[in-house]
Amino acid sequence: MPHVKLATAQRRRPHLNRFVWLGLGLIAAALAAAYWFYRHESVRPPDPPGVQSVIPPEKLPTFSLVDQHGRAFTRTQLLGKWTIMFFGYTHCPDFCPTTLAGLNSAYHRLERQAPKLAASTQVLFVSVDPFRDTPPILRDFVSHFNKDFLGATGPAAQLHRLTDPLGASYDYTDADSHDLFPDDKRPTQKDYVVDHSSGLYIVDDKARLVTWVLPPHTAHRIVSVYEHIRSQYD
Amino acid sequence: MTNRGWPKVLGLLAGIMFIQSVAWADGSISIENPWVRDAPPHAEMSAGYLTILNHSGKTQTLTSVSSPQFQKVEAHKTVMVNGQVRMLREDKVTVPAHGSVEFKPGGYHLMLIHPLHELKLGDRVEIHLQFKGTQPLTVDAQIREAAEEMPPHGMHKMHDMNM
Repeated sequence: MPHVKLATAQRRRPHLNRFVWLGLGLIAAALAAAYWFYRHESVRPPDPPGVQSVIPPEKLPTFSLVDQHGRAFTRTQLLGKWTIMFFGYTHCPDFCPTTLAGLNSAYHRLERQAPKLAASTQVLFVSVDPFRDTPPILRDFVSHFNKDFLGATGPAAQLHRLTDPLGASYDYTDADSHDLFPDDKRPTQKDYVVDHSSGLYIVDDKARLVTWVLPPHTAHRIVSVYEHIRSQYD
Repeated sequence: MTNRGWPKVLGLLAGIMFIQSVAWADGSISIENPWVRDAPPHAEMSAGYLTILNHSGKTQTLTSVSSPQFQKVEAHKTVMVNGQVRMLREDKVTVPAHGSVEFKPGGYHLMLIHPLHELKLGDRVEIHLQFKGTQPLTVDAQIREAAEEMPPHGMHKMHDMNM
């Protein structure tokens, strides 16, 4: 009898082991799945108000603009650093300077409280008014706020290669009636104004749109939103 | 910014120190905290800000603005239309009885068009405000940086400590 018992026990053991391994495997799989969900969208912390994350990040196409020094500014310039991008024009006396001042303040705060983030960040002002904003004018404007900020502009077809995938837009309008001037052509009115998207566009170091942010673009808000976004990707 | 206590106190102190308040002779309208944004060099446009207080019992209407230092001055308002930012020219700005209208970044602003000579930080801009049925009111607005643009105090010190 003892022999029989022993034999049964020996027969059971591999059986038991199989269940233990299966159980451990299931637990490991569940943990891996939970981690995957945590890293990906399902348990992603919600976007703060006025912030819209693009999931998955959207790769931007190639484009060909000029920078404030008259040099080529292409998609390559968006690689290797994160970019906070803003569209406007230099004849804009209120909203654009206010936003660039906010970005400058935000950049200084980042340099102090998160130097690594600041070092891997560039700020780009894209003028959607290439008729009036030549590179020298762009340089005066952008460097007034921060010497390291980048400025770029270019012909309509190239601007649209950037604005369209970002969901950004701009329109030339009559300063008095606000009637639209036909797309892409130099407006006939001298003091035309440009309606343009008010958001900040956050592009990662692989030139992919990650998030866009609606105003107000105060330094405090820019920093908190930007740190929130970066913490999810770095 | 105006929602928090400290900037308000600082603003008040700044107001006491160097920002004048101009009152209309009969005391019905006064202008507080006029300032002009320090614009980039060669900028065609700049913006002026101020607060109009109406101490009278009837609506006051700002009908035109001018400055001897600019070709043209217009009252404008920055508004959001379908996610786009747009500048609207305001032919007149009404200030309700016993009320006020604040011209501030991102809202109402005086659009200063084409400076007749180069202006720099600290310069003063003379602004004439014409209200309906009154004589023009003149304010002297200093060119300064917006609060956001000023580097925080003690920044270099903190920077050194971090390094």
